[in-house]
Amino acid sequence: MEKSKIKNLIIIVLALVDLFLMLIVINDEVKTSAARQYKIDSVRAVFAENDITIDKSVRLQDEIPKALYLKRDETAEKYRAARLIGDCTTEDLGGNIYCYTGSLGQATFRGTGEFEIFLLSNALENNHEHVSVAKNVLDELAIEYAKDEEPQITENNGTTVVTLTCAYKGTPIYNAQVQFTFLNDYLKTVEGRRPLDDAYGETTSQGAEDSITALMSFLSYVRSGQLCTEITDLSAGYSVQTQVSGDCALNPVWCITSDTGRYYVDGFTGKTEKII
Amino acid sequence: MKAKIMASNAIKNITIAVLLVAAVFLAVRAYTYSSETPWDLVTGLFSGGDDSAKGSTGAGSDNLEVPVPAYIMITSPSGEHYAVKYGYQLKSDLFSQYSALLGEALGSADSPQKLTEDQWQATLKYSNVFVDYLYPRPLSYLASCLGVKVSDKLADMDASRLCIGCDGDDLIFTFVNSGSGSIYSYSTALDSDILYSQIVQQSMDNSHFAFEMGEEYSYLDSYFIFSDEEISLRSAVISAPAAGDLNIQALLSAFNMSDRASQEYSEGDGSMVYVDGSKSLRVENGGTVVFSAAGADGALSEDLMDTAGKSKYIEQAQSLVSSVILPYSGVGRLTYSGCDLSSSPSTTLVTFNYTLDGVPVTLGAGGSAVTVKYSGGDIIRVEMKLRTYTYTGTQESPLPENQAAALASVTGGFPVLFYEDKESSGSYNWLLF
Repeated sequence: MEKSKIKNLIIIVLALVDLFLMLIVINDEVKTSAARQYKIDSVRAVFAENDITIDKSVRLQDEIPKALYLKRDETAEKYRAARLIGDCTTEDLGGNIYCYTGSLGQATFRGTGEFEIFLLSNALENNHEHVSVAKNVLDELAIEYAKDEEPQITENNGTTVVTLTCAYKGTPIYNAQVQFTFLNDYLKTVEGRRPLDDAYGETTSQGAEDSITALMSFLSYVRSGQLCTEITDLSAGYSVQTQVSGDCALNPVWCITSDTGRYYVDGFTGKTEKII
Repeated sequence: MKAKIMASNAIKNITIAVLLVAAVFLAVRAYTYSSETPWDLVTGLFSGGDDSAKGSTGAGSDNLEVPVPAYIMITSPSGEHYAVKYGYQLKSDLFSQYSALLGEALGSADSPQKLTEDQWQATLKYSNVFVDYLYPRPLSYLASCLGVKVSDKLADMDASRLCIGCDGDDLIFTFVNSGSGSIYSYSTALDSDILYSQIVQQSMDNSHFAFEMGEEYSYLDSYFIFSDEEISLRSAVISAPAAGDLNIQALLSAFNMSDRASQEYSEGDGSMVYVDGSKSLRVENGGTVVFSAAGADGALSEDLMDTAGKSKYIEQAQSLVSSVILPYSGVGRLTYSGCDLSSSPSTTLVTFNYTLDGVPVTLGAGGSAVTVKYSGGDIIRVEMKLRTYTYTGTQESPLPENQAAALASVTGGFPVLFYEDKESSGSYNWLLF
């Protein structure tokens, strides 16, 4: 009985402690949320003073992905090229450039992550679902594509060019794109820049700019002479920086979509560049 | 009844456990103001601290900085130029856009052709990237800094002036061989459109080579660049670290000397000397540090006994002296300035100089900032002049280039802007190189 009473007492005390701590946590959350909303409203006001509107649908996130370091794996690279062009021989052209030649085409891969693949007409079946073919090819090459980025398609005199943006674990890499050129529905060339193969390091995103700070960096950039009247989207992603040695870094960036184009703001330095 | 009591006890025990765990999580959450989930908090406790960078892409080879040239000029398909000669960060940013292509060109160069001076100048007039390192450097070393193995065709070549350019569909690599003065052009494994697509995005200015300026500057070195920059450079103050301010333990360790086995004594001029077997380290008050070694004990680089070429000497010397000098150099940087091989006796001399904001530094007493002497594969002497450079916050505007060019009007030559380090003071001045 005594034990039972003690347990009841412990339960009551713990419940009160939990309630007290819960109130503290809820209070912190309310204050943080209010502060954040104040920041967001202030940013909108500052942009409005500069004749730039931020669309109401733009979500201002706090977190940005970690910076990642990737390196090249030539064995995996050859294996993936062979899935498109057949069993292939390797020629080392020097400068970390490898050329793979197979029965169905030829592929050149550079240490910087850039590559181009020429396919013979019989390499893949004639298929007018160009985007679907492009995505399947990227799957064969083990290159992830950004599902939320719209494919760009241009058509001219029987030639169709589809451009897809690469991604890494679901995060788009804005300056890594792959172009697929179709001639009369036959895929002829695949070229672009890919993220390299194996991750070997990462850097914490502590100290990185949040989306609000990134917007202020963007405003400084616009004030230096760029045109912009509306911001329609803001998202976190990567920018790839490569070395010829076969290493690359995925640097976190904020991608700002405006009525005059897309820009990315480096997550650590605040440097703004236009995405071409 | 008993079963009911047992069930009730069990429920109370579970309730206590749940409330206890909840209290711990809520306490941590309240203390850290963190927005992480409880699972994140648990995994964070066991993750062994924050993730730190395990790798970076800052250098192609271990400990070697990407070699930013003294001058860089981009030429458009229409013959307009854009040059950067002053300001390290701007040069570094511009060079980083083309360094990968230069590395790939060095690695895949093939089919050499000798060019005449006119052909070389014709190459420089359209669609190319020209760099000038002032001091000739082995192309194998340059390739290594860029993270590639140099093409066999270039292994024994040195150059200070290099160019990657478009020749029809091909990207070609051209340079002036420092040894013979001959100009060579090599094909590469790259297509010209890779370079072309980058060049056309570059905005141009009013820069020119001297050879494009006609008779007016015919006395000048043909490849002197008249840039369109306003020359405004950061002023600096200079100091030499006192012997007492140096981390002696780190110095001894860098030269494989044991601080426990070393004998130390001071000399009349205040210098401290440390001796460990046949190795000695002398630290002077004026910032000069001299390492000497003799015999087998002096060996620091046995793996160079097979003489893998200049590149390995330079890489090792740079790695060694960077670790010693850079903690004291302030805003000064170290750049390679020469490698001399002598066959009798077999010695190799590798030298480095300081740069300040991308401008080379001359020392008042003359000579190099660092001299590393090898005998066979062993480092037998290292002489370093430690300097600390600190920006003052003010700017200096040296003579503009057209006035500096007049310096060479009598003797001809190549005017170069240097920072003259006169120990107690310094200034930017033009000198004939």
